[in-house]
Amino acid sequence: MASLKVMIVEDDPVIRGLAAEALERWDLAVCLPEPDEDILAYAAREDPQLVVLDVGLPKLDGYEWCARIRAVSRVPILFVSARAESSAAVRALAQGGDDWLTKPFELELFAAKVRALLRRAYSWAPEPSPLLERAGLVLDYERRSASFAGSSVELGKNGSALLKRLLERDGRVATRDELMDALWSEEAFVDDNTLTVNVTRLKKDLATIGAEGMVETVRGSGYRIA
Amino acid sequence: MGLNAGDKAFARRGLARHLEPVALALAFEGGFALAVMILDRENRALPSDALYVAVALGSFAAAFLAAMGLRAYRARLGLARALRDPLEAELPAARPGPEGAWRSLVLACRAEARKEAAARDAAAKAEMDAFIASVHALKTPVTALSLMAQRSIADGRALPGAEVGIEADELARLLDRALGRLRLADFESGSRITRIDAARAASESVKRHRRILISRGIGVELRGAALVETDGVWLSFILDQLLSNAAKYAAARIRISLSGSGGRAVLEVEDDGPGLEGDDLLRLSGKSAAGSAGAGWSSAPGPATSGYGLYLAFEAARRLGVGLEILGPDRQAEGGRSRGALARLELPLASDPLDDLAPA
Repeated sequence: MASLKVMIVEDDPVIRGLAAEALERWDLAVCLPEPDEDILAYAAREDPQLVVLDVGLPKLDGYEWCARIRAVSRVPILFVSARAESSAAVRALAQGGDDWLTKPFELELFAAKVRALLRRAYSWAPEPSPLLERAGLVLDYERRSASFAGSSVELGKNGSALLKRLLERDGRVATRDELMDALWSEEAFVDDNTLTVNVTRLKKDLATIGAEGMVETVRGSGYRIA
Repeated sequence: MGLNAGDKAFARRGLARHLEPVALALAFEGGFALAVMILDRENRALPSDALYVAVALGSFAAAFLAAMGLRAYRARLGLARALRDPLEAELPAARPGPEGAWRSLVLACRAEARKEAAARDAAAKAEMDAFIASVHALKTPVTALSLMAQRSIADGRALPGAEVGIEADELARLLDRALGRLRLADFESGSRITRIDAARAASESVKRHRRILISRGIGVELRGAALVETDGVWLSFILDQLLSNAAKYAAARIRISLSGSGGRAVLEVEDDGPGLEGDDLLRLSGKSAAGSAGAGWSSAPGPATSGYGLYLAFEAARRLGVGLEILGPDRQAEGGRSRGALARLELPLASDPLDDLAPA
């Protein structure tokens, strides 16, 4: 299947650029209309499979564009807005929006919402997230397992979150705060001591598949994959 | 006791003032319908004429009604003045005896009313000052971000992501607080009660504070679960104020616990910081020292914004109809824990916990 196209209607160029980048990382095509042009005509031309719509736009607001798009198309629409009231979200959904995200948002959450909407609307099965690898140590984050030299081990939620962040740094140091952030994103709101406990457990798990010494402590700053 | 002639004339005038616009509007509407009907019957070929007459009549009626509206508004202003003025009106001299007693009673009532009005005005002004100070506080993270940008340009180095993240979070929090204060004024139209997973709401709030909490080395323990019926956005607003306060004062640990029984869910946020003392607690909860509720924000020693977020949490809770109390370290020790501040939020438990979660 050719890659799906997402139209991002957003008047702030920085947000637009970063949002587009986050989606391109998932092999989605993006098209970016100028915020003051005729969104409906642009959409008809580009035929996107999903629309990301900012509420505050220069000419007509997002609600109005949503209603106009809905009059001719059932394309999934994700609203993005700085307004936080329940009533604003309710209005967006009543106008035919499919989901709602409040600014400021995390890019990962934004990409996840877009993917979920695409999956629901088109039975789209995105490519499984690429396996992370360095020096023969492979992490399958979805399955929460690591493998090395033909044998593999289950890591658990915290262990795989830590190893993911370490592998993403690709040999550079991941600071303790960065690793904490990885754990907190997984709802493990641990303190600094517990991080040490979690890293020790990860090292022990990796030792069972012969990958001992792959996680290296860098005194005074954090950890890295050797 | 009958009305004197002057009163009767006044009442008649008041009645006429109310009926005039209605009668005239009806007359115009009648004329409008008639014109349309006649023109329509006489000459079907000229509907534009009928339209023209209708528009002319309509705009005249609109202009007239606007003028009447303005007059009614002016009358209301006059009424407000008339209601206020008695406090200032000169009382006739009284003979000793019942008349004198009556006169001093009236004077005492006036003094009391003036004092209450002054206290209300002072509280409103103090609250407005705190609000303005909280908006000014936005400049701190903005300045920090600007300095980081300047340094990174000067040094040709990348922006320090972690530091930028902390400042941006602070900016978002202060902005949310200020916007929340503005939305409080228009509470009813903006709120909507749905079924909310309180543990999830708490977890999201913790995540919004994660950068500052991690950088301060504070761990959060989140226990229990409850489905509640409330406005999700306001619940998040209240939780954000409680957590942002706890994140500021906690030494190493914040404990959030959820439990439910008897139709009520209890959500507690407890930190291990220095806690709040009696006067602060009263001030934040909008109670005066005498304990009367709703006295509003009153300024106290210390920075104008200190505790303003908690005050807004109390205001939001009051409008949402949920219970909120904050206990200081002098509360009864529970299981040996008596340090820090404990915020206790009481929410209506969702009617049937076995039902599926409503979509967020």
